Amino acid sequence: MLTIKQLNKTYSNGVKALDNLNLTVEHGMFGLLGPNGAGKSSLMRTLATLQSPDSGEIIFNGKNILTDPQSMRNHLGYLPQEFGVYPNVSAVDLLNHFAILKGLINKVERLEQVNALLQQTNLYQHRKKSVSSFSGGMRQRFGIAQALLGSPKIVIVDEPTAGLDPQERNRFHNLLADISEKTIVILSTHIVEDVNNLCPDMAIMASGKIVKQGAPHLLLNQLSGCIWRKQISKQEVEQFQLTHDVISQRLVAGKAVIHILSESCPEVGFEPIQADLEDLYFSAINTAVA
Amino acid sequence: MMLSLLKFEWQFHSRQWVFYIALFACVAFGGILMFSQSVDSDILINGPYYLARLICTLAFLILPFLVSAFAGNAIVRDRNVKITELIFSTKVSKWHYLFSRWLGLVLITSLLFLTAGVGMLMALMLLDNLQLSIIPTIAAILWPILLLALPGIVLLASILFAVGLFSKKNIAVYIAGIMFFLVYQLLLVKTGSVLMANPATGSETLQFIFSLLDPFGSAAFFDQVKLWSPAEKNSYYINLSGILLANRLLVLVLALVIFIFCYQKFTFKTEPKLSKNQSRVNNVESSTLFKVLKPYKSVLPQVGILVNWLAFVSQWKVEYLATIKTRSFLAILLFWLVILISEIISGFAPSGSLMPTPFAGTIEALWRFQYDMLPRFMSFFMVFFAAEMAWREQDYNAESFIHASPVGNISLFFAKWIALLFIPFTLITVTIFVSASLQLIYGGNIEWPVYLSLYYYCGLPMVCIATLCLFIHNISYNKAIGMTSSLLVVIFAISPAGDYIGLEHPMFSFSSHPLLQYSDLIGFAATSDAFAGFMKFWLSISVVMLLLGYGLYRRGAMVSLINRVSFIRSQWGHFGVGFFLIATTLSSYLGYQVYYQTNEIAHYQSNDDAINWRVGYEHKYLQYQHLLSPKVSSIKTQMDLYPAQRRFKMQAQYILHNPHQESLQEILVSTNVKVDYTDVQIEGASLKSYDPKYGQYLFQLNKPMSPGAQLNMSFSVAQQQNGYLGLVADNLIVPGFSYVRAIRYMPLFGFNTHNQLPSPSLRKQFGLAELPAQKSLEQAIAEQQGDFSKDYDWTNFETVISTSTDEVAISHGELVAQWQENDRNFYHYKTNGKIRNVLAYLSGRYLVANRVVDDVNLQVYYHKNHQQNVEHTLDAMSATLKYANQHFSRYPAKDLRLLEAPRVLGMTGYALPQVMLISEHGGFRDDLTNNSNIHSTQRSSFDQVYRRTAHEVAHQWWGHGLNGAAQEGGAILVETLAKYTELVLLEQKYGREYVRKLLRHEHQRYFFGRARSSENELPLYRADANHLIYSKGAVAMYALKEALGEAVINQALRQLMNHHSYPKPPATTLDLMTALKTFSQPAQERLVDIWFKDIEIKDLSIVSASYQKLSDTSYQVDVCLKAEQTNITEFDEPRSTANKTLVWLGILTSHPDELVTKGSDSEILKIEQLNLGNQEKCLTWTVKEQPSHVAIDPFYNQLDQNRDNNVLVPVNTLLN
Repeated sequence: MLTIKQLNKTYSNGVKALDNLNLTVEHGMFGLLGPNGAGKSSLMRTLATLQSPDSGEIIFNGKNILTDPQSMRNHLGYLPQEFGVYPNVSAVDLLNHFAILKGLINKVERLEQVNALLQQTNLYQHRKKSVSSFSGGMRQRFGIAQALLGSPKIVIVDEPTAGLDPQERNRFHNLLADISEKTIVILSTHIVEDVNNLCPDMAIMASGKIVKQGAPHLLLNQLSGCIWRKQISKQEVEQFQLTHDVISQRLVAGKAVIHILSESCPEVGFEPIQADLEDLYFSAINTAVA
Repeated sequence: MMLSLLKFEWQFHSRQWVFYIALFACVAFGGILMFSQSVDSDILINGPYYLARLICTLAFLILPFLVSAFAGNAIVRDRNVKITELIFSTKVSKWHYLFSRWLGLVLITSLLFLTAGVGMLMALMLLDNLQLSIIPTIAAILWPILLLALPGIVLLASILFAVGLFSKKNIAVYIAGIMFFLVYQLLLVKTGSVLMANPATGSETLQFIFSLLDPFGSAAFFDQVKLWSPAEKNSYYINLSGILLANRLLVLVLALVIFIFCYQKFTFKTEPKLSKNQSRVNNVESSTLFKVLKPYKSVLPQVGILVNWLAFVSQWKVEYLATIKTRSFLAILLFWLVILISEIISGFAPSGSLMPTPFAGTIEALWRFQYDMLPRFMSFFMVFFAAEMAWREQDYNAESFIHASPVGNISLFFAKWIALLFIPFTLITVTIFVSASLQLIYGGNIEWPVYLSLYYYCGLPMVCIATLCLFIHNISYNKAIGMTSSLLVVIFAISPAGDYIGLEHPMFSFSSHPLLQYSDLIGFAATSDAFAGFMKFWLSISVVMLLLGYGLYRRGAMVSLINRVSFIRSQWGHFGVGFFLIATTLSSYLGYQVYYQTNEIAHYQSNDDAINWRVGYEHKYLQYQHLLSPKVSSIKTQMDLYPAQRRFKMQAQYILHNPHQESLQEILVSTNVKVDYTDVQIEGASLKSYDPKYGQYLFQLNKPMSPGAQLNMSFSVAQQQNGYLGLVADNLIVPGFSYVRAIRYMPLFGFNTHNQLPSPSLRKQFGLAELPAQKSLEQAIAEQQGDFSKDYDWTNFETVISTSTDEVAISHGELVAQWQENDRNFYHYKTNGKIRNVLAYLSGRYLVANRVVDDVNLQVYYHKNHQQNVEHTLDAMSATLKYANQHFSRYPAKDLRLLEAPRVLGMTGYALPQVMLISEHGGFRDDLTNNSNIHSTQRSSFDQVYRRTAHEVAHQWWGHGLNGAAQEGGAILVETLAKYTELVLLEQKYGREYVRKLLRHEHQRYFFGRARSSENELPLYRADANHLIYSKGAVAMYALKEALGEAVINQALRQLMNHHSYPKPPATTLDLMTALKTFSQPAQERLVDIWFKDIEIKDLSIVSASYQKLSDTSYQVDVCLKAEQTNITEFDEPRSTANKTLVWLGILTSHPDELVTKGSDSEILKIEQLNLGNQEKCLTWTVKEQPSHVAIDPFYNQLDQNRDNNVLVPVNTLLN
């Protein structure tokens, strides 16, 4: 179990990335939603012991990982948002090297796990090619393979499906679902659908704070009856933005469709709709800004 | 785990292409370096000393580059490929991570350095005139690698590892590597290391510090072996003891400390470092703005020339500022400023023991940096900046943006080029500013035109290098390849590396030009013509490269070179193609001009060609080896100098006579092929054959020339010269100064031994017989019954010499007449009597100062701005003339002339018959303002003006008056006696304490020269090495003067002059020794033999000293001292009586070094001569004042290998 208490981080240029953040994660898949700049990656990097916060506590399985980072690293699998690889090193060699770095000293066991992971990520037939020649999706799969080396108790994946095609995304989701049966998987993303599909527990983060946390269906219940929809013309949008709490605006067949958060029907012409995760997301971050 | 990690490091490093290049380069470097060593000395090149020395050379030349090349890969690679987050989040420990990377670096560079040793071994096996036993040779290579190189690698790796770890940038590692390389070389020069070609006896403190801290242990190594003879150097290995042991330990400890520092400071954190200006855009805020957004409106872009121009200007500013505003540039600039400032300051305020204080002039400043440091520094760093400039878009991942924008290639390309050119412009400007400021601080005159000319002389070659580098980057596949290639090309351009692979001709070194050095008398004129010619050529090639670079501009990723070549025509357009054709034609033409000037006019010959020419000469003409030849007894010339056109023409009439007992049938005249001879005629002889290749004229006499007969000979000779092969020191004709030494170009008779190959190994290689060994003096005396009169080459001399209208011409003899004709100045000189046939023709823009002393017209010819020391020079000339007239012999001529010569000639003083040259920096530009008060504490400088003048004037007796036999020891009669004269004149003017400074300098130079010498040391009476004839000779003569008395020495010298001046049989050193013994006491004769025939090195020391105050005017001093003989070689018979030496002991009120500066505060309370031996002896004296120092041999009358134990502060033991 992972407990984060009163985490604070301000960068040297004055940006406050983490603002008194509190979070608890039990086993299984946990989704962390938030816009760019919310502080998700800062949080992920702090959890992965790559960054120190200004103040706060992070307890994982009874140990404070800020004072004892090695206790986290011993059980950690981390897939960062962006990473590169050494040129001219094959997938199997590089994975093997990471396995050594993760303490898999026994050669037989190590080779076994490396091969198994390569197969699981569908990279086995490419194992002798150099990783630097892989496409984006293959590289991402390699990343998850190295994150799964050893037997991590917590896997942190930061924006893992950005840049993957739909088929790869599906495959990736299945893999994550498989892992999450026994470990904590923290999935940080701005793709609402991914959280929707995978996560029994989630949080929404904005401006360095957790603005909503809980099981998705429970959070959505809070919004029932408060989301209204109307189709309007493009010129009217600005006017509505000034007078109502417009949480989203999109184009459908050339016309603007707006969603509004309101306890009761705002105006003639609005129809109530079933809130979905996207509405939850937009309403949460708009409230955070206001 | 460590093993697996190391295995990965090995695999990683060895798979990089830079590994294979480094492997090849190391082997090649080791082999080529070994191959280029000359085999002809007493020190074997496969002996332990020499191999260790070569390892040191290899170490400092290649290790900085080698280690920096791999240090980036060892530790910065994670940052570079952005794999850091993956690695840091594994559970690898700091120890495993850091140590595996560090050890991998050390192991791989050690392995590569080892292969350089393999290269050396291979080269040794290929050199065939060595007796090589493999195992000892391998041991002799491995031992210094292990002892000297490996710890250095460990330290260097630690330093660069730390730089890479904390800067996280490859370029910081490279810059640190280059800085190490440059600073190490600077330290080698400043500490007078044997590894450097130009020895400077540097500051002793610096030497000590360096010998403790030198990463490669070279200083400690050379210190250990400095007294070893060549035989010892060939058999003994360096041992790990003393300073070397301390140094090795210190180096390893330092490396450990650095590693520990890295370990402590390093964390597995990847926090982004954000500056105040950078801010990660907080998108959440911008979403509020989205509510009141202005609608998007499109703006029409323009096209055309104006757009391209503005884009160019904007892009140029971006490129320039992006380069200047980096930490790397700041670091480089700071580094350069530190070096520049320290160099200039040490030029203005030198701190050597005998340094004069020069004026803080622009020329003095320039000599510290203009011709070597600044160009080399800029060249090296241009390689970096060009790489940064060319690959900036790729590095910042911005290339897609820029290359997809409509800006033309022309703007992008030329923006980079101009921005790159501004880098050396910036550096030169900063240099000028700093140098001028320092001049102001030291009170000198700033000559702005000279500074401004630096943009031309130092800037233009940089333009070429910049263009070349950009071009190379444009056609390179990636940044690393481009940088390595441009580094290689630059190294070939600025170093003699090309010579070793057959690329000797100057036109192979891109951007190179003959050495440019500045003189107040002639400016840069000695080589500025060649500079202009070369620059025109290189610039035209640069234009071609610019066009090609522009045409092949790499736009968009992955466009292969071959593809781009096919697009050139369309890139260029018609204008471009036209330009290209014009540029290539122009460069061919200019290249031909350079070739013509270098090869035809300056007669360039490659090394191999020169060797083959000599071999050919010997094969063809050795048959004339024993052909008797006439001698010249009278020379009359008309010499016309044309300084502005850099040429001369001369007509000569010789009178030849036959000095032999037999008649002569044939006369072989040998001329120098580098000048143009015409109309060579001998009276009563017909030309049998003329060989233009070797310049040989063979004349057949119509009637045999009987013994004693005379013949007339006439010829014309002319020369057109230029600066394309640099400057020839004794053949320079430029406006402001001309100097043509006849011996170089006048005809010689018979077989010309100067044309033979001197090197024994080369002679063997080409099948030439061994040269006859130099006969020992005794052998020669026996063979010629002690009469060497046939060595004499004296002649009557008369000349009419003309020069341009703003110059005065000088030659030997009395000025009979002078006039003007056809807008030129004419001078008629004639000697009254014969002089040595060492003749010269000189001309210059001079002012003249006159003084008549002892009926001799003393003249000093000087540059109009250098009149400060002219009177003092005349004083020295006058004093020396009077002294020599009184004690040696009467000066035979009516005139004695001293000319100021340009510094660029590379010598400080030179004496010809009745004419002397002293360089502008050899006295004319010394600041003697503090000199007047001899006891001034500010006087740290030495009166070099007086010293050099006395020395050169002395040569009118020693060398041109007494012309000794051309046998072993002949040089002693020239230089040692001149040093003696210099010493007594200085003592006469300034006193014994002052002269001590000079003796100390000579004493140091002797030991210094002995350590560097590769020949066995000869006893003084047969010596010719500089450190013997100048330095040891000076100490010897002064010691003899102290022992025998000045009057005795002078009587001996007078006798020498009387009995052996021309035309009497010339003297040998044995005659000198006989003369000295004639006038000395019988007991002292032994001393003469010891100094001249033996080699004695002692270690004199004061073991302990104490004093007690007996009363206010009485102190008792107890001293224990001894004189150990550490090194004795006796020739003839054993002489040392019970190993005892006569040694002076002094009790003083100050340190002996302060005798001069402290004035009356410093006094010698007692000075006494003692007979000391190996056994310690304790004696007591009473003096009238409190003593502060006790010194043994304070006046440097002995050769003492360790002077540290010669001075002691006596301890105060209280009366009980």
